[in-house]
Amino acid sequence: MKILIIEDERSLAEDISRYLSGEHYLCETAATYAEAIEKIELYSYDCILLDIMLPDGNGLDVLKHIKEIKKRDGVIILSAKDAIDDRVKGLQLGADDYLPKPFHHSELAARIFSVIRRKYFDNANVFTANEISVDLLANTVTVNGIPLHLTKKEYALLLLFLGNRGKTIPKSALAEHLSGDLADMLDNHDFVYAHVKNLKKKLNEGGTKNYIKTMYGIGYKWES
Amino acid sequence: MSKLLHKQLKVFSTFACLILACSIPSYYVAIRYIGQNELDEQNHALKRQIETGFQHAGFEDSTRTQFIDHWNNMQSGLWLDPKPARHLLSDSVYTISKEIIEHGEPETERFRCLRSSIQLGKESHALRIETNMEDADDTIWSISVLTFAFFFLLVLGFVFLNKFLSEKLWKPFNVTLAKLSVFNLNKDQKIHLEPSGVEEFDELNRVVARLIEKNVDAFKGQKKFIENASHELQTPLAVLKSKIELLFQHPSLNKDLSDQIAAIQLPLSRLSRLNKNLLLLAKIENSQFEERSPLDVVEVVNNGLEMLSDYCLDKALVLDVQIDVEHLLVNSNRVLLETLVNNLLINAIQHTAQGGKVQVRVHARTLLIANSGQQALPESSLFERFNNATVKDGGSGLGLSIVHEICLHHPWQLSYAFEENKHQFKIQF
Repeated sequence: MKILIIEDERSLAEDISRYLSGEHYLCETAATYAEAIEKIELYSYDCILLDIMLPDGNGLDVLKHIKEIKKRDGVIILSAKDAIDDRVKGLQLGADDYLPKPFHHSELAARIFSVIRRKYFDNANVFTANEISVDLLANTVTVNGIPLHLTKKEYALLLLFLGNRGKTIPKSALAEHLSGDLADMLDNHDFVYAHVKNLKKKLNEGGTKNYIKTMYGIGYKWES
Repeated sequence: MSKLLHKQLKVFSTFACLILACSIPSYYVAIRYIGQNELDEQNHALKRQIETGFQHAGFEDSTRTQFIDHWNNMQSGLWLDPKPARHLLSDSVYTISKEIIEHGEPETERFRCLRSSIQLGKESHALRIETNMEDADDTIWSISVLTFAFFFLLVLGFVFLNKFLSEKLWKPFNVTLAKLSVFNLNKDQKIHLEPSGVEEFDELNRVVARLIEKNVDAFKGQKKFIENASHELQTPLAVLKSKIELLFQHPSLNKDLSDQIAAIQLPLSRLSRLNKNLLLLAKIENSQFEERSPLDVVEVVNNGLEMLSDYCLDKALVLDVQIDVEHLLVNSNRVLLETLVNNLLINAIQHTAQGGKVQVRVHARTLLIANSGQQALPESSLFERFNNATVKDGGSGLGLSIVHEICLHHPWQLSYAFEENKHQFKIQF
């Protein structure tokens, strides 16, 4: 799947690209408004990551252009944390999601995962990873065809893991995924442990292999 | 403290009092001198009158002595020697005091005397004229009474003039003062000082206006600087965070390395939190959250509690939430209201010991967030930036400053109390 990263800070764009390139994503970058427009017109992407602040223009104008030329590319806006206006405007203009900066790569990967699936698997939006199937529309999980009852938070964690298979997700990223912005106001993220433990337990009881690995106390990794 | 005009009045009155007091003896001396001269002249005139009177009468030498005796008896204060003087006396004037009986009481009176002689025929006779003088005590007394009466009038006039002056003359000054006293550097106001037509006040206004302008510029510059600085810091911070996350993915990651990275991550997240809060604070101060809409405090509180429920659970905190109203609508900015509520909640959670109690109350127009604690916090410095112990616990030291700033901005009334071993933060919307 192809992803376009429109971000003027090259270092960040490269990091995102490197993080996502690991598996099945093919990333391209554009650092300016002009470059972005050119790439969008020439190619199609499954998901576009769009920074609002560009040196030669506004990311929202890029979004307008995408909609004008009737591209179906999924768009996730990346913008400064407190720019609430951008969020409202972006979503009104038809962006699929909004992620305030700075963000965890794992969070971004999870968002891309959902945007792509929502966008391209309209009706039968079921994602399968080995014996686990997730219906992204109904928000239900089955293991070997048997429904698995997860809490809202456990389900959110599962999606984060599935969007970041093979990556180490730091505890702070898990905490932020569960508690939103507020997580980065606090240092102690031990509560994540309880939720991960419960998810692991339920998956094991459902009959899955032990996919979730603890990584040296800094975070967790889904290994399949 | 006394008013400027009162000080002036005091000095003027003292000076007037001094001058008038000095004038009393001067007047006395002057009046006495004039009075004496007048009496002396009068005495001389009397002498001439007596002389001509006797000369016209043309007495015989034989009866003269007898007649003079009679005359002496009839007159008071005049005495003519019946015997001719052996030699001619020169005129002399002097003052004597003697006791006389007046209204049946003895009284010492002063007399101005003229000793002279008049020529009767061939012989000269000594003549003494005594004229009662004005009493010295009486004179002093009258002068004093009059002087003090005038002094009183003078002071009265000063007071009246002062009142008039302070109202009229000092009006431009008072106008300037009133404008300055309501001026708030924080509120981005413009101050307009109108010309008064008085040189000194216009100069004052010019200087004050220039001073304010400079201060406003400096203040704005400083606020802008903080905003720009923290804004510029955002990107390198984001890059750092991103690099660290990539390090976590490195295939050769081992326990030792990951511990090191985790050790970098903690201060980094504090740094980014600090920066985020500084930026937020600067933006609030720069009035960048002006868009307002009716928002429900109850909803914001419930959202915050839900988001933070894991942290409460983790610390085994006893959450005591009591919301009396269905909605509490306030006109505010979403970012500001959420920040306000969340900061207070986070503050309570962060500073409560394991197993402590956090209380949330929403009444008619108030929000109260309390947490158990040991001792009262110094209220004066509680809301100051970087002034609390929270910096040590990983807080940014800005959370409550932001709360304070948001309350000032609306304005809402924020208060702190320490009661029943609880830190209570109350906001009156």
